[in-house]
Amino acid sequence: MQDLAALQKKAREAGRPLLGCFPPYPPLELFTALGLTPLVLWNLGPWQRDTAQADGHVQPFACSVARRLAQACLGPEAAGFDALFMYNACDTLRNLPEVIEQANPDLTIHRMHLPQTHPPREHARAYLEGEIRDLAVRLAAGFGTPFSRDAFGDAVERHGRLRALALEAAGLAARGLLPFSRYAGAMNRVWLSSLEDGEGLLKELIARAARTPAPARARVVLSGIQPPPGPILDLMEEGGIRVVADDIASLSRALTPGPATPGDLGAYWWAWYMGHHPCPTLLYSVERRMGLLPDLARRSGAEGVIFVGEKFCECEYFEFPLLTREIQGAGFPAMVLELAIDDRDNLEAFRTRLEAFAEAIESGKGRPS
Amino acid sequence: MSETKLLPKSGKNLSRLMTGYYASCHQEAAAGKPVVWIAIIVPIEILHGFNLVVAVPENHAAMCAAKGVGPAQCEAAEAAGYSLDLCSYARIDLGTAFQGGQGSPSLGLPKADLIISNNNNCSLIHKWFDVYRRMNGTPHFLLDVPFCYGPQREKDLNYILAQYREMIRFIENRTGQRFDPERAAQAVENARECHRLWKRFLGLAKHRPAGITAFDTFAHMAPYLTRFRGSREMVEHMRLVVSEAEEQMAQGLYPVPGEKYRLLWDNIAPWHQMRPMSSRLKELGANIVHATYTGCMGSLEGQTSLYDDPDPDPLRHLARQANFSMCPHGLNLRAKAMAEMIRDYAIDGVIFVSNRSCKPYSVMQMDQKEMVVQATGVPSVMLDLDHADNRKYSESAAFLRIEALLEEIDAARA
Repeated sequence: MQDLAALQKKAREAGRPLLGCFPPYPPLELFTALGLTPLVLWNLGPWQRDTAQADGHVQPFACSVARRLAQACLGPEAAGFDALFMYNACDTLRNLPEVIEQANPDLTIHRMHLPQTHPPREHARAYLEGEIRDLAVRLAAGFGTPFSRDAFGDAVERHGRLRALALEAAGLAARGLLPFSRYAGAMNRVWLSSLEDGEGLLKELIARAARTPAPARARVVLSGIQPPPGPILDLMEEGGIRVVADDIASLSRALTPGPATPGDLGAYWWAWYMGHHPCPTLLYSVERRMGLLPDLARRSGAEGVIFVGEKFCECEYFEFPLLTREIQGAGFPAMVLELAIDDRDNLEAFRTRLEAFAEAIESGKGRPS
Repeated sequence: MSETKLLPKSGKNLSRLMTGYYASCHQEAAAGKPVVWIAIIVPIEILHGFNLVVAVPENHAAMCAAKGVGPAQCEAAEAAGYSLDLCSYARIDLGTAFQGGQGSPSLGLPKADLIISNNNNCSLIHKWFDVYRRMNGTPHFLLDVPFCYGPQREKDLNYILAQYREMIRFIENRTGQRFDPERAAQAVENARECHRLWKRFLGLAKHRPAGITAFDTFAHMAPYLTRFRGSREMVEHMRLVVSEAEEQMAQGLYPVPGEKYRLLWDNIAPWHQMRPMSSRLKELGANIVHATYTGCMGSLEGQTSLYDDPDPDPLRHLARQANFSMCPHGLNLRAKAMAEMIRDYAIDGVIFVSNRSCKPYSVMQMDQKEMVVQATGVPSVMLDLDHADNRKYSESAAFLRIEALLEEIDAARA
């Protein structure tokens, strides 16, 4: 297993300063345009099992995302970043920046407030546009890299290409031509790589796709704040469960395309954030979230939905009861898998549940709908 | 809800106010008055410009916890699929609503016609309230208030102000009522008067022995967090509380007469432990004389002094105070405010309460504890507690740590 330090070292080979970013939807194109390499600090489990430093600062009732993020920013890997960026999502993440600053006074954290009004309102638009412009000015001053429209246009195009490749890989996984675990693992690495390395990783992944699909007992939509750990995805695949579509924060939700033409910086990001794939961390997107999952399940030919519940993630847990009901009301079986920070070490209980879920889907296939 | 044996008239008046409040919520709703549910620090003063039933689910949940019915209400929400890891206020409220008010001392709250939340005190309250929007189609207005890592920025103030104006239009459009700015302005004036009295009340704890305990402040803040904020009733209540407490002190009556230890509390009140905890502390000669939870009322972010700057625009005055409670404050602001409290109230030790149901208050406390100890030299302890779900509380574990803190204070004195 590679660790975060190795990924930082590799990303630095691109010759640009590294900007660690959280939560999962930072304005990546802006950072690229300013000559930075943004690394999205989300789903760090595969790279960082130990949370020793974080445990001295964050209580165990915070989710694993926050604890691993805190570890990355408080442990030795913090020195591998030139700066950090964060915007507001949940209360836990909102409280972290000063904890990090306290431990690393030399590490600058650039903050942005993302308006959470819903429905989106005009003064929120003006506010966000101001925040984005201020951020660009601060970063340009901090790194000595002035913002240019041309560079932004180029960054938009390059990130668009990356997203297109990611969607192509997702499509292959949905058709059974790539194991979903490999797609999720690659994407996890893409977000922690330079743009050029990320493109390379995805091209390589796509090139290695099989020509004939793997058999599937049950086709599901997977939804959650991060994908389950690799060993649990392996269990799903062993049990014949194929992910035909995902609603995962670091996967499909993060692949929201931007406006076709870059245009004004503020307007671009307003359009991107407000049109973003719904996510429980984006409070304003809740209106669109309810109908999304049944629709996704229908469109993708799924036969069930698995919610990946990140223990202590209140953003997700407030939504599960209604979402589950909505999904079941639409005729799809649904299951919530609760995952805690150490659950890659307790696999057998998951195997039993996943097998039972696959069997339930299989046994329901013969029934009239 | 009063735990104060020394303030009988105030306690009686508090019970009268709160009982009357919950009864009137149901009565006025039944008579057709529009019902608005709000998050606890939504500026109620603005709502005085309308003719509404103002219900505060957090206040109701605290009351349920104080009356000992919190766990049963939580279980009803858990049975409906809401995780035990979610905030206990939310679980109490949802559980009460799912049971049609059954089990609640006030029979729950009347059904909402409108919901207003904000995300600075707790961003998850939006998700909690949104359950009702999704279930019942109740319109839900979210005030988006930026977190304060430092003093409030002018652009944040203007952003909040714009949303207050929009909130007024939202209420007008959905109730058919016209906003009365004079009534709202009067409510702002009443709240300012209340804040002056509140700070005077808190100041009685500066005396040795303290004239009050933090438990008194927890109890008497209750009406402030309902429609009474901005009302004459609240001002008159605080006038009564202050005068009665001052009279008691003049007679030499103090809540912990043998006060040996003066403590500061950091987190939401332990609603289910008001009497047991205050009684046991008293036996130990310890008094929690002040709390960040109630000390912030009437102040600005990171400060403890009274904010009494009259702005010609009452809405602007409220926007400036949008972050008055502790949760929207960053670590440095909190540490600064706590250092002031420790100095002003001659604190011997600090009780940090790591509260599983309140991540906004609790995540950062481990660093806050270190900062406060380093800045002041005052010893501290961290307790595990849930403010409303006593299934997650162990009295013996809590007092083991509190007694260790008292021993540390003794050792430092020796």
